[in-house]
Amino acid sequence: MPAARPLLSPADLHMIACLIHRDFSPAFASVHAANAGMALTRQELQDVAEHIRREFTPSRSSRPAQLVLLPVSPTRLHVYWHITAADVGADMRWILRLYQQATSPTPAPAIALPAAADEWLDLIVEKPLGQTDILLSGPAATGMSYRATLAPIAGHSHSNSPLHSKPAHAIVTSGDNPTENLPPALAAFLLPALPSTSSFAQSSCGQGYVAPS
Amino acid sequence: MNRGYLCIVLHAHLPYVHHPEHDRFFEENWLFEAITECYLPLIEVLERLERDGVACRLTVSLSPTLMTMLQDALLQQRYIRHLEQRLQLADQEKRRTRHQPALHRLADGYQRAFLVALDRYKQHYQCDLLAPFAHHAKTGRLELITTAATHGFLPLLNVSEAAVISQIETGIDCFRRYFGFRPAGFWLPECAYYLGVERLLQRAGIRYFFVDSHGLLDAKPTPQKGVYAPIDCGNGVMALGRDPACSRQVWSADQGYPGDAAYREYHRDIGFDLPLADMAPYLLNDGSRISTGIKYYRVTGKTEDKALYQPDQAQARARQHARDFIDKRRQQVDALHPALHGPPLIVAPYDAELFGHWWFEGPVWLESVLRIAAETGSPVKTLTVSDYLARHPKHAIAHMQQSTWGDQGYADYWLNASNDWIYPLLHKAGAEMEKLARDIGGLPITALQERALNQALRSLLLAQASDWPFILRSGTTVDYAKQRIIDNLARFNYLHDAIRKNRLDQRYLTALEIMDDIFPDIDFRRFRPDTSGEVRS
Repeated sequence: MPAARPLLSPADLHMIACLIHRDFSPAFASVHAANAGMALTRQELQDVAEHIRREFTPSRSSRPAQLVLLPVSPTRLHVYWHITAADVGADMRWILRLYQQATSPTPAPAIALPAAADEWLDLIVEKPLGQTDILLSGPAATGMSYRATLAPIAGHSHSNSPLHSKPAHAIVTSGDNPTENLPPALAAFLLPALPSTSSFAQSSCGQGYVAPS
Repeated sequence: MNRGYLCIVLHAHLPYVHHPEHDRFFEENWLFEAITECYLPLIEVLERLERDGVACRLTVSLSPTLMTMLQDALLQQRYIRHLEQRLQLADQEKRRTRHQPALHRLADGYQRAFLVALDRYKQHYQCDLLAPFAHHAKTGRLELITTAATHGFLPLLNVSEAAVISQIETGIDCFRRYFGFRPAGFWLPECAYYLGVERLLQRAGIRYFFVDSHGLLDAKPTPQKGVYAPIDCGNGVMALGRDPACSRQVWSADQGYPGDAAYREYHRDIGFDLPLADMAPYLLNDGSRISTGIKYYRVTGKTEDKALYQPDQAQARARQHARDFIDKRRQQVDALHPALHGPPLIVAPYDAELFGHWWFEGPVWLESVLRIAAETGSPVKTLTVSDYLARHPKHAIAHMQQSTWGDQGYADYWLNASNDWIYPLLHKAGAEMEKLARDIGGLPITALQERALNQALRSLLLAQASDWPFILRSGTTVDYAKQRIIDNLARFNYLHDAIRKNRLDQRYLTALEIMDDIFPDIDFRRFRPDTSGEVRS
């Protein structure tokens, strides 16, 4: 007769599982450490990951003052800003001014800002921390770039700009028919418009029919 | 007679998913599924072509994160465990379907396929899938290239030139570590080009890269050969444009081959089709259903009532589609050759994971295309960009605009309301890393400090992967993508804080090195903008 199996409660089972997990889980070592003696268990790795996640999660408000302009498409710029407490002072409303300006027609990775701006657009900013899209109404021309400034409204004048963005190149498209300057034999294979392609984890390749709701 | 050249490029990439802190982790399945369905079949295609002496050339881009994961011992063990579980599931399916002959045959086919995959992976390749790629590169059927370290979306990282340089050069160093040579070509992540990146590619010793069609067609002056010849970016680095016709035939939801009624339907998987009780051992811990790779139905048509998959018919259709693809190229080169006064170069880049994973019959199609193109009398000859540039080294100079191969053709998919919050955080961390490298790079430091600084850079690079904003926008596994960004930035913040305060904890650092075990040769000192004009060799 086999010996009777001792009765264990779910709590006992859980405790035993935890103890075995803690004491007998495989341990991992770093290949970078000169002293390979330090090996950590899964539980220890999880504890470190959790502690760092809890204590060092990036905070949006801990950034330095900055104003950044990002070209997204021919019709869209993205801008984000952070005005620090010291900069905000009593000014609750700021003006974000976007300049479109001519740069050298040949590509120059480091753009020299011209002394005078050609055109600008103003947006009222009421939060010290934010980001927004700027829709561009007209097509940009080759050789144009954008830059932005952020300054407090002082008597409706745009003065003493404390924040400047770096310039961003305008994205220029040839419009609806990019092949109009090409021989017809080429154009025939370049039109109609391209299907959008994607990277990892998405396919537009025609599988996965979903019935119209 | 060959009247044109066909350059097929497969870009193989997966984000770095590596969780030794958990016994199993769902997102590691992305790698396992891709090994079974894409990478092993692709290697087998190359082996059959070699065995049969088929003269062909193919370009494969392997991302540094993918190379690292393929060589990771823990993930290799876990892949074997994954396959063993799939074998159990297939066995269970054979028993369940024993009175349904058609389904039973399919279940048996999956079991045999998993057995073959396990044998090939474990015994034949000894878990090292980079070795066969290296072999085929050496024996002449393959040109291998790589991409940015963690597939960072370079135009949106360009707030810091150091960040872009680090992505490019760390990626190339990783490739060199595994293959022993520097790649001639570079896959810009998401084909995302911005004006000026060619200078950094030249600095890294790169000779060519790819852009989407409109990126090239919008160049000034307009390239008179369209996308059918490279353009010189002005510094000798060549850009090549994707051929829209080749893309449409494979990618288009309406006209693309993978939507054919005969092909296996990706979205019908027993993981979702069978009763929960049958799938119990294969569910996630929270009871969620997951894809298993066992799929019994074909696309059938625009209906939810799917017919059973018939592998022989599907493979025959793939060969038919390959013939059609080459016929279309014949028409293309016949029209283009006179207009260009010479042979066109048709560039057909695809995500490697399309072939086998999304489009199950994709590897059969690819093999057939390469075989047909190698036949006597084929209208096109396959080659790589390096082959082409060796024959045609000079090209017209033109300057391109920012572009990507994503939805709408620009950066909209990677910067929108779903993911715009990440960029201020990434840029801030990049600025802090640059400052660390500048402040400490020239000072004598301890081995522990050196490890911490290098690990901080690893955390930053991992946070910069283009996959996370992509997933946030696409809406799949959003929580995981968000967690990866936050965790990697939190790890960077922790290390930055510890370095600055000189309070390094060896245990914590070791834990981070174990969890984010990538780029062993990284050097934080190289995180700096280009001021020297040097070119690496």
